[in-house]
Amino acid sequence: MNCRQARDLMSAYLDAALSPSLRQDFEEHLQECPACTAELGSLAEVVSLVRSLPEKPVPDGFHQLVMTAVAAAHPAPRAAKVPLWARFDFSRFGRVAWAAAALVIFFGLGLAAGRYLFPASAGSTAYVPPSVTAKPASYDATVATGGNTVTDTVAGIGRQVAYSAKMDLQVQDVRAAAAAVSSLAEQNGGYVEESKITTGWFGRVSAHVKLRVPQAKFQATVDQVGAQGKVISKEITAEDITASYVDVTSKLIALQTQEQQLLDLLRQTTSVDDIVKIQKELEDVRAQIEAIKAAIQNYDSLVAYSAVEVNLSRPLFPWLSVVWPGLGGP
Amino acid sequence: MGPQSPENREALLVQRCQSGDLEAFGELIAPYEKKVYNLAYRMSRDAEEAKDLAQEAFVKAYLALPGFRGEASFATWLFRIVANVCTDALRKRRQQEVVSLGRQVETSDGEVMLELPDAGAGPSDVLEDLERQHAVERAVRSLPAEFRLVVVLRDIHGYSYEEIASIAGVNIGTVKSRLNRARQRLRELLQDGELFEPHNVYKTRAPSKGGAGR
Repeated sequence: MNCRQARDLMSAYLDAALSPSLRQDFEEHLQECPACTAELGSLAEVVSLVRSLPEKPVPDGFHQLVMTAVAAAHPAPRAAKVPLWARFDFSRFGRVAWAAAALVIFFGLGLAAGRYLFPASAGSTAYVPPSVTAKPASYDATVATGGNTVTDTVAGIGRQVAYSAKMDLQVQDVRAAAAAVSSLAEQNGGYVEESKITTGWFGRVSAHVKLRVPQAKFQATVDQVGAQGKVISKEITAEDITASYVDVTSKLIALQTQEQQLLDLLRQTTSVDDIVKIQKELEDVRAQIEAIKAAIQNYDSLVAYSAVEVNLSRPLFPWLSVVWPGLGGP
Repeated sequence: MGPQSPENREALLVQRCQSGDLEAFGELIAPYEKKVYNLAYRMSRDAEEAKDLAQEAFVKAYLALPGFRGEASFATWLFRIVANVCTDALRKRRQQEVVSLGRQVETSDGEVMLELPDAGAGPSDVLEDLERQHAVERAVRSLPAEFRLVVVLRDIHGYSYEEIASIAGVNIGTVKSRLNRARQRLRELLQDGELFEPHNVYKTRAPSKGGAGR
């Protein structure tokens, strides 16, 4: 073994990562080469110097910082709104499967025709809207978010429930119904968040209206909307956001405490370097406070104003009601 | 492995994160924050940059978590992300910046290295230790990203060659050779800085002081 080869093995030798035979060769070389022995000695010293570098403590508030950043990068809390058909991978759909699908459609049409010809066999399976079980609770605003300070503690937060409804309605005159539904927002002290009227195939008009009404008027609004036409589907959701709410509120309190501490520190500091550092920290903290206040306001409005989404359309051709009773006219 | 074992607990937390549970993510990363921060610290310029890099790595890990299938341990997987974030940042920075640490010298194998300025030595032992520590830190910081990563993972974090190979995404042979070259370079750098014989530093300093006095 020459010095060059020995040099390549030094690091592994220090880690006891050489095979027994290589190690023996290496040690034999060391015995006859003082230069390599000296080099190994200083290499070992370097390794021990690097090993003795102290571990750095994690900066204060690091966990909070990471969690805020993660929350900001977090995609929408609900699953992505991909329609069911788009999730299906058609490329995996083999020829046999296509044939099977065609058969199903063929027999399905035959069945429909049969039901059309013999209406007596068509069951009257009218859609029964689900009853609303969750009653809107009164919204008690315990946390002041408009001002500069959170006056109440996290413990003071009552249950925060955000109500929303989604309804599909069939009406004879879509435009008139859309106007009527929109006017319900104002009647109930709310506002129209979205309103869209689209003309589809064969001049078929449909509308989408999204209302926001005070939580107390939520149930009444849903009933009034339902009276505008035939309710095809109705979905009421009560989302308990207390946990998220408490979470952001406690974050806000923590950040405001931090802000106060930084301000105190700033008053005591005389070194320009430190002042610059503290100012930078302060900026960071204040940016986070702003972001969290915005989130809290968003939660507040979710709770204070319930969403009522309404889709309006005209019934399809009456004969289709035989296939799917829900599509028939009123 | 019982139901309460750390591995199981971690696997459950990973599942909860994958279904969008932020709180579970906080619990999952808490035990690793110190190690991740320290790796970022050794791979970066200062505490401020280390904080940014560690934070970036955690965000990336959170976003990549749905793709984590448990082929490696969570710790290895996490450190791979941290290593990537840090080496990327380091490479980018090295391209942009003219490093003012010391004068550049070309080593035998053609790569440009930095020759460290005089490591200095203080009057007291404590100061000497501190100076020595700074010199070692500077020497580590002057290594190219790939070399720095293996040395930090091995000598500061104490990972095995296998673990380092998995984190750095290279084979064990590469780990061994990079580690050897990295340590040899540190030795050269620190020897040039006369760290091993602090008394020489006084000798080399003396004439300039005398010159100022004259």
